[in-house]
Amino acid sequence: MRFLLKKPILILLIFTLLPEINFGQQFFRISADFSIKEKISDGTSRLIMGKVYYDLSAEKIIYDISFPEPETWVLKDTTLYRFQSSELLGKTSSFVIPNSSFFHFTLSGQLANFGLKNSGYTIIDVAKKEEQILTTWEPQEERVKSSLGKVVMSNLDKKLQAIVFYNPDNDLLSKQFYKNYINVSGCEVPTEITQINYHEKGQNYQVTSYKNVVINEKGNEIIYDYKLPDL
Amino acid sequence: MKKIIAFLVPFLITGISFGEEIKPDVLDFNSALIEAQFSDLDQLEEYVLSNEGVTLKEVIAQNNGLNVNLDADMLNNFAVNAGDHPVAGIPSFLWGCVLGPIGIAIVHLDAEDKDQTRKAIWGCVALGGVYALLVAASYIFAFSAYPF
Repeated sequence: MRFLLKKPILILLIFTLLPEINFGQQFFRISADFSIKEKISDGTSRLIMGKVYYDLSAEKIIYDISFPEPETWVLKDTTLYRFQSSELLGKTSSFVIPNSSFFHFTLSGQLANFGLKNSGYTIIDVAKKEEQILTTWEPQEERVKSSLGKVVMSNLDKKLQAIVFYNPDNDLLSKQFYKNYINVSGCEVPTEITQINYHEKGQNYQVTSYKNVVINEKGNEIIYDYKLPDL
Repeated sequence: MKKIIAFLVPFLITGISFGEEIKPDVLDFNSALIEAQFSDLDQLEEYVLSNEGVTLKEVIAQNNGLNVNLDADMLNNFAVNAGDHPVAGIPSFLWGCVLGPIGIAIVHLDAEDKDQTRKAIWGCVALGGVYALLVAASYIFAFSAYPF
């Protein structure tokens, strides 16, 4: 009898808690202080610093740059908009698409496979090296294979550690290393990304660092959904 | 049993010897190399953090012992694929060169990019230059062919 009395309460509790359980781990916003340091093969160096914002639904990456000069960059679709004191300086094409970016993958839980699972890639090999799982991917479609090569990645505890991109001739194009993961409100965020790009003239090195990471910030709509000029 | 072994063996082999395409060292991280590469930029980063609001021009002007070969145009070079964004895929120079002021207006209104507008203006200037040269050449030709 006592069990029967408890049962509706239990059911009520389950229904009340379920939405929390299901949606409690949904991440929709990220912001952080960032710095990008770059060493170019010609011997020059670059540093860019500021704050970055990304909202999963707005699909705009906003770089509020403080160094080398104050500027705001907004990446939307395949276009980079550059603003200075809210005035549009210009727009250029960009190969970084917000919904295929590090920020999107981090919030949507796709960073572990770098979004390859939903990008027409398939696993062709799995191996283990010490504690790490190494996975080799290649494009599924034959016609894509002529322009995109294999991708090799390593994961530790389901977190992406490194990813290597090849061209269709198996020449090394780029390596990325994801380090110093922190857990912010349940979201695993790597705070240091080292990238090595290989090209004919040598290698470019890039280190991106994130500090003061905030997940699911409320308010601040003006910056997360930065207004772009009507096109 | 044979089926299970046949299923497991390929996985065990790849687990031990890696797949053909996976070279075990390709994913190794050389932290010493990276740290050495970035020690000067780390110093600059610290400097910028401790001097809030400082710009690249000020850093270069202050010349405060930071031994970094800085790219003076780093912001433009950082802009992802800061390549052309021409109207309808046609170079802005050609818009100005072929359509003159109308071409400049089209580029200015559509691209909303000062660089593109500048290119269109140069195209228009080039058109004017070519026109002036043609007029001058025709006068020279006319005077030389029909001397008064």
